[in-house]
Amino acid sequence: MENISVFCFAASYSVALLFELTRLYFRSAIRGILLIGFSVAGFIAQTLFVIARLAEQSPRDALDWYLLVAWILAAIYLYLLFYHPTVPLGIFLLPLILAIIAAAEYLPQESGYPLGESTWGMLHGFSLLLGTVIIFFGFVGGMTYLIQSRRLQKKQTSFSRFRLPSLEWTEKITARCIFFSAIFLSVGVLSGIALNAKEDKVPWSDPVVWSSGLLLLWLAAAMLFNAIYRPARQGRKVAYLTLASAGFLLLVLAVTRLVPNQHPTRKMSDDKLPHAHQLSETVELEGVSR
Amino acid sequence: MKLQLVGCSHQTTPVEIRQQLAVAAKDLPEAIEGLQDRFPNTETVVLSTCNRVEVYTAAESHNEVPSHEEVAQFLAEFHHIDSEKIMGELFLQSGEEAVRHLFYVAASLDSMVVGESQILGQVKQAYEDATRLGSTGPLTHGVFQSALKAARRVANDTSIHRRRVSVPAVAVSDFATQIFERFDDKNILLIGAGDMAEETLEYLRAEGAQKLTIINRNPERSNELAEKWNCRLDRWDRLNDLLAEADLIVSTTAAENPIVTREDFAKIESRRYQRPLAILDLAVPCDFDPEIGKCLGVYLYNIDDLQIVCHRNRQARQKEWPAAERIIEEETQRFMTDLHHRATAPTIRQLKESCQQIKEEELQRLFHKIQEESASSREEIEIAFDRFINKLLHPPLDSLREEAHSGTPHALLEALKRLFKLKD
Repeated sequence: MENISVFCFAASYSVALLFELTRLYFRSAIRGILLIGFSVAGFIAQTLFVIARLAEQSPRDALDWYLLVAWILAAIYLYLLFYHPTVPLGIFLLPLILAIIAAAEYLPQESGYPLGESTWGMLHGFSLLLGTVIIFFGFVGGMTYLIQSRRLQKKQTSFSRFRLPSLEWTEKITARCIFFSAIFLSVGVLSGIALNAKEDKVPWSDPVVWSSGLLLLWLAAAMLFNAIYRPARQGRKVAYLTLASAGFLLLVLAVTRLVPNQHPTRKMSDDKLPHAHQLSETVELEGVSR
Repeated sequence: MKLQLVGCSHQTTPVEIRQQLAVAAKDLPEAIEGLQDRFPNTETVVLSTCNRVEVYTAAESHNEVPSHEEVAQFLAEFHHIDSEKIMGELFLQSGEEAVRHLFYVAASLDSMVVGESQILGQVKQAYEDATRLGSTGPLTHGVFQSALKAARRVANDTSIHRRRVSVPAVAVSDFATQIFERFDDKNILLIGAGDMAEETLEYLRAEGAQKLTIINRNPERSNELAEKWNCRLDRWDRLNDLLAEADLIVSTTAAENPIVTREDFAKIESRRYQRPLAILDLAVPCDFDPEIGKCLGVYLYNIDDLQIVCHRNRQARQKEWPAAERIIEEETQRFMTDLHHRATAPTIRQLKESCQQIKEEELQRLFHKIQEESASSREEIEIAFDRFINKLLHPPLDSLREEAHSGTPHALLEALKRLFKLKD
């Protein structure tokens, strides 16, 4: 398992993306098999890599957090590939997965995304993780909706070799994404507050905390807008809301990575694997910040 | 072995005659029983759809298969009509021609709407019904199973089934399904009640549409259509209300001017709350002002948009046609080779039995002479004899197999029978 690197699964997903792109140009009977082959290979490699990383007692660095986001999105992609093989969502999902993997690999190796070890910490970390995945998937759904809507209005759909999901399907998916991302982010932020409240030290001025709060406020506003203003429940508006949510999420991620904050951070060694003393330091840091 | 079909289809016979000859599902057992009584030792399958009535018969002996006239006579008597009247309408195909025809039919290449998927199910049903009623045999089993296989190959290896060429089919399958995932919960409004409306209704029903409303200036025709398709009728003066409620509109009136202008639509737009609306304007001239297509959430397709797609699909289907034909040809040849080879089976069996008998006699004589042989040497001698027979028979049997590619090798079979004095 130590021979598996980020390059292995990134390369597999890249080849799968190339096959997805060929949908635009020609039909092929064996493309499905090749797509499944490369995607499954990439997914297995990524799964083994993530397991190895978690087994190294270093679940808190950015690499792991971003890789987990990409891993869940890859699982969603595989599900779609098996159960809806004619839906070419991979064209949108795979670049996103690759971009997240690239962010994991090339951004500074500091943690701002604790998965935590206590129950509250786990809840905090995993809720934020799932909320992020759902916002990203909603973004893909929203983008697909807008492209399909434009193609339908321009009457281009029948001449195209690839068929996007129906507007109704993408609208349903994007609407659900807004709802569930708001739920998970609320749980994430509230559990984070509860976690720090135990120490009586809620870092309200922390950029990560207020930017996450801002994102949560935006999602709550989007849901409220949705409930009060009836046209907001219809296709294009829902799609715009998911795009805006993804924009807010990127802002939060950027703040977390680029702005100095009080969230638990940890300098990683060159090979990104923590040494024993660093591990104990991490635990201490976590205790202090919470 | 002989396989033939007597029947009529939309290509050869007017619908009035086809309707008279059609065998309803409830009458099928009686028809099969009648055919079996009249032509015993004959395998029979009856395929009856709205586009064709075909009676497939097969038998080991050529003499046992009913003639063209006999099948026509049977159908005339079964339907109580004059046989003279239908004789000229029924075509006859036999052997390879009949096999190829069945493969074309099952693959939907002979359908009125090429590529429609219903026919494969109908062929399968006809074969299963005949099997259930005990009128099938080795030949009909073989040809129908091969037909189903050929049809599946055409469906999987070509896109001929995916290309719609009629305006209503394109409107529903190529456009409406890209907007809506399901149709059973959609409010569908049909404006007009002509033939185009009815054809579109058929496709919408096939997609699962349930909530259908028809309005027409002339209520007589819309009553008829609503009754036939079990749709809700409404009044023409409620058009605006219905526009506000609809998810999908199909318009096919013969009005000379648009029945819904941009201004009319603007009045109901706020009541729709930007809910997506698909408008399939199949009327000439257009029933909906093209400007309505620019409204938020409205997807408007008129006859010109759909005709362009139909034309493209027709061209694309034309390109796919040779590939589909090639598959049918391959499958036909494969089946015919198997069939011809199967015809040589009795002679081959006789030849092998004859050789086996000679072997047994010679072994008995040999073992009687050699008294002291061991069990293992007896076995070796038997194996040597078997190998000798196999090697001796291999060239003639191989030649038979090769000859079977181009038809039943009657001359070779006759020669073998005479050379080895084989008796039927």
